[in-house]
Formats: sequence, C-alpha cells, structure tokens
Amino acid sequence: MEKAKHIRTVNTAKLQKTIKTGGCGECQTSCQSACKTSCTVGNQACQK
Amino acid sequence: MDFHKFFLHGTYVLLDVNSGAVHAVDKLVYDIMDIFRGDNDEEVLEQLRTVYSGEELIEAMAELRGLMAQGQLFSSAPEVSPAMFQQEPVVKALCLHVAHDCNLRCHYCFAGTGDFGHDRSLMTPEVGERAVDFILAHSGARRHCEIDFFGGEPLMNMDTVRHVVKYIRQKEALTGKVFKLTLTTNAVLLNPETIQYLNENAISLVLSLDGRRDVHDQMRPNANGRGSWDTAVKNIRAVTASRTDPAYDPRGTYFYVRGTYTARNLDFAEDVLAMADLGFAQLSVEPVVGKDCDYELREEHLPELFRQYELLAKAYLERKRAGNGFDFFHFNVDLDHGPCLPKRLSGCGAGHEYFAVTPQGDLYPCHQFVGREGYRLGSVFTGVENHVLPETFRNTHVLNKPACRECWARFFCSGGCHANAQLVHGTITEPYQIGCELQKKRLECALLVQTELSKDTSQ
Repeated sequence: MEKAKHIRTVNTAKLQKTIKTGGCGECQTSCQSACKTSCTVGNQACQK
Repeated sequence: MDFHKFFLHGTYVLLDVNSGAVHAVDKLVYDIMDIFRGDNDEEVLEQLRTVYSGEELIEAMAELRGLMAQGQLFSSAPEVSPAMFQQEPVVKALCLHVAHDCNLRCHYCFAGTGDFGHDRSLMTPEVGERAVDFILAHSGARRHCEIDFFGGEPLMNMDTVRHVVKYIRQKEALTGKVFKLTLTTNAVLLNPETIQYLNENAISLVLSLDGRRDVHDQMRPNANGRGSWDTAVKNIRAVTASRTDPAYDPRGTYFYVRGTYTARNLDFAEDVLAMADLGFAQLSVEPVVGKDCDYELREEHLPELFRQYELLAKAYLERKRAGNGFDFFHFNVDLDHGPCLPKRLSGCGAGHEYFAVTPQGDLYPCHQFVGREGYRLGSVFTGVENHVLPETFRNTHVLNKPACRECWARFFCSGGCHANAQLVHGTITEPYQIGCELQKKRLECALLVQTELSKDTSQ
C-alpha cells in the first residue's frame, strides 16, 4: 500500500471493540485522581 | 457524521468519535472534510476544484476511504446493550470526609470552608472502620478498592487516618483485596513526621496550590486571614522532594499539585507555569464552580480561557521538547490504552460505584453532593437506603443525555460532573455548559499535544 501523503494516523483505537474486551471494572475511579471538580475519563489508563 | 476536526498551533487534527482514532491531516484533507461524506466525490471535486487540483483531491479522498475501510473514519456507533447496565453494581471507591473542618478559609470552597454547611466535626475511628467494611461488603469480585482521605482538611484528623489505614491493612491480609489510598490536602499541616508516615504507607497525594503567590493567597487564606502560599509551597517542596528521592519506593503511588482557577485569574496558564517553575512536575488546574459570586466563570470569560489552554499547550510542548517538561493532568489523554467503552459510559461512578462518607457515616453520591438536600443515600451503618438515586446516577450517561448524545467529546468526558450540573441546573441530566465548553477546549489541546508528541517519537 502506498504511503499516505495527506494523513498521519496517531493511534489506531477501536473503541467499539472494547465493549466486548473491557468492562472488568478494575480501573481507577475518575474523580479520585488529580481533579476533584472535573472528571476526564479519557485520560485514564486501562488496568488490563 | 461523527467526527471532529480542529486547527491549532499549525496542526490540523481529525478525530473519529466512535472509534477514538486520531489523525494529523493536511489543509487539503481538512478542507475536504467540510464536504466529504464517503461517497460524494463529485461534490467535493466540484466545490474544491478551484482551490486544489483534481488529482490531489482524488488522492486525498482515496486515503480517507482507506481510513473508512479500517474503521477509523465515519465508524459506526457502538452497540450498547441494556445488559451492560443491568449487572449488579459494585462499590469501587469511597471518599472519606475524615474532617469537616479546615485550617484554611478558601473563598471558593464548595465545602463551605470545611463544614459543608453543618457543624465542624471529625470522623471517629469507628465510623472509618464501618466505611471500610461497607466497601468490602459491596465491592464484589473487584480486587482493587480505593479510599481517598478528604475533608475539609484530612490532616486535622490524622488519628482516624492512621487508625483506618491500619484497619485496611488487616483487612487486605484477610480478604486479598488491594486498597489504593489517596489523601487530598492543602499541605499547610504537613510536617516531617506526617510526610514519613504518608510515604511509608503508600498514600498518594493531591496537594492544593493555586499557582502564583498573590493568586493563591487571595483565595486561600488561613483562618487568621493571612495567605497560605508560603507554608503550602515549603511543605509541598518537602513532600515532593521526599518522593522524587531515588530511595523512595513509590509502590504505585502518585502525587499531583492541583489548583483551582477563577474569574480573578483568567490568565491561569501563568499559574500552571509558575508551579512548574517551582519544580513541581505533576500538575493540574480546574475551573472553579460557583454560582452568584464575583469569582464565578461566565460565558464571556470563555474566549480568554480558551486562549489560556492554547498557551498552556504551546508551553507544555516547548518545555517537553527542551527537556524541562511537566505533566498536566488534562493533557495526559492515553489514546492507545485509554479506558474501555463501559468505563467511558459509567464515568465517575458517583452514586453507584463511588460514594462520599461524612464524619457521621452518611453516604452521598460524591464529595460535592455532601450536605445537598435530597442526596443523602444512606449510611455506612445501614447501607444504601435510597435505591432510586443510584439507578438514576447510573443511567445518566452520555447516551441518555440529550446534550451529550451528539457531542464529539462524549467518550472522553463521560458527560461531565453531575454535581456541577445539579448545582447550576438543579438536575443531573443537563450538563453544566461552561464546564462542557472548557472540557472540549482542554480535549482539543490534549489531542494536539498527543498528536505532536507522537510526531516527535515517530521521527
């Protein structure tokens, strides 16, 4: 496949697939982290 | 079409909302995305032929179609079955209000300078033990449990903190559970003995500092009216030095220096950089939430606040590349190993996975709801007695909130803070709009930062 000239993909996430692979619930509670007034779930890491 | 694009600091970024895929694109693709829907090449050619050559446009659209084939553009919405939310909820975390009292009198304190609108009081060791029993009884098969020692100011009740930690360690040995402990403090009462205790007991720390001395002192005076910056900085320096010492074993702990910005320091990027200049490398600042007060953030402040996040992103990248970087909590979006969709839908878990416990043992959906009428859910002695509200909290996720369903940021923010929504609108189903706008700008800056950093590593 030819190298893309116009697009550089930063990550190859497929969030929809994590419905099946995720949900173990071991991850940190969002608001328990650095912020106590605004949660940004997206900046947590998966514990798996 | 579920995508979002933005241009910031010379970079064009394209996000596919449903998959979470992020792409750095050129101006040509950025412009095409105003028109392109996957199967309307003629329309794109017709509208952009005067700006770009037909050959370039066809080439770029072929690349976009390649992304579509990979499920990284125009990807379909996740199929969320109701079963995902029907499982028995488990309690993951508690916020223990070990002291409804505080040595500071911060003007913006949602806790009413520590007393949460009630009498100043301390949690007894017995209530602390029952709280631990409560989480053990309701955490199911989950191995990790979290407890945050909170206040008011938790260092005003170290006797209970020490007692509860000892009790937790005994219970860990008996149950096989692993507790992650955090303490959120204004740092003023930290001393060498307490620092040693917190380090030896693997307690993560959230340390409050608002940045520049005058900004901090204006909002965070001691009970005697004098500013608390000098003492806070001296103590935060001591504890962070102890934890960056090579001899310190972190054992999974972390520490963050976090601040609050208000209408009085709209130039808050300066405060973040001031804290970085003090040598603190793990930073976070949050917008204040207030209502009917002179420091509240209003819609007319948004353009300046957006500019500040942009300035912060620029400085963040410059310092990282120069080798003197710092971490800013909200820019640490993990694009590859971020949370799964079930987590993104359950959000902060307030009211079903996460509870706050008052000194008397009462349960509330989270620390911010403590003392708000109608939100007491039960107690650590009786368990959850209100069975309606936890279900309401659980079901108030981004796919059920009209304002969130169509928002491009929904899988990053998980619908925002329920407490802020309730404070401003009287309901948790309608998000706090200013919070949403700030969240979206922060996310754009975070995506830009990650896009730029990935370029550095791929070169």
